Amino acid sequence: MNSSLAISLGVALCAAGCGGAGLGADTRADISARMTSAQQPIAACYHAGLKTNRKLGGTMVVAFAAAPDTGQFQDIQVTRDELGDPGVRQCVIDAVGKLKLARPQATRLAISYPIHFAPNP
Amino acid sequence: MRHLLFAALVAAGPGCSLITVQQQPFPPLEIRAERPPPAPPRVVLTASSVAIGEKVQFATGTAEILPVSHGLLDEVAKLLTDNPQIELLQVEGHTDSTGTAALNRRLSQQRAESVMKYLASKGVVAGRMQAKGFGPDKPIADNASDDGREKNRRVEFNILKQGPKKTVVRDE
Repeated sequence: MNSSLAISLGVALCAAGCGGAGLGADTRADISARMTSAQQPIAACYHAGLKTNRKLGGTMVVAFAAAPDTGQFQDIQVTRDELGDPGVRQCVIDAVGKLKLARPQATRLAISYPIHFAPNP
Repeated sequence: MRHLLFAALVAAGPGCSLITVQQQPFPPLEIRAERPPPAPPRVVLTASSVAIGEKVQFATGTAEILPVSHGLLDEVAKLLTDNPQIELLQVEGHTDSTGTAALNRRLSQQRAESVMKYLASKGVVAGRMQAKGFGPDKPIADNASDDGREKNRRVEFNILKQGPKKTVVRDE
């Protein structure tokens, strides 16, 4: 709990105090590619949720870090959840937690990524 | 608190060298999935019965309806309310052949009455229903197997009398 608060404070200090260049274009592309690679397992999470609620849909925002050197996605949290299905939420957290950057960076990356869920028409 | 602040400063790092924070939002990842087909109705009106797709569950050895079956019976009640042409419905209780026939007949009668009372509590006119417990007398499967006995323990709704189809007018 304290460590996550410390990291949050650190992120806030860094963002507010130093600015910085943020994520480079290559890194952003890497992150997007990793998230896109998880489309199928995340869709499976969503499909499972649709079985109990056929109207399930909306946006979920996942915040996570990419570890330095390994690029492993970790400390995954859902910061916004319009679906409100605990099973889908946990399933998405598990799916994102299996990802890692193809080109890990030297620094820890703090990322927030929206996922929009909608049933096929 | 000092430790916390120290950790935060370490996390932020000199010149923010330890954490890189995303500056621009990512476009949403679009996830699409097929809606599964709607579940088949649990309660269906046939020419001679109200067929139920799952069993009415009772507490073991008693006529107490388990809450898990309330939704099912609520659907039966709605179907009866929506179909006033069903003038007399027999709520039937059936058991397997385990135990004495007399005890089973009594229990099945009590269970049928319990279901009838529940339906009446949901607005079905009691005069449209009658309860009958058959005990083990009308098996639909072999009592020699667990599966067969499970099938034989059941509640059925058979239509004894019905008139021409009537239109239900609901208040807005």
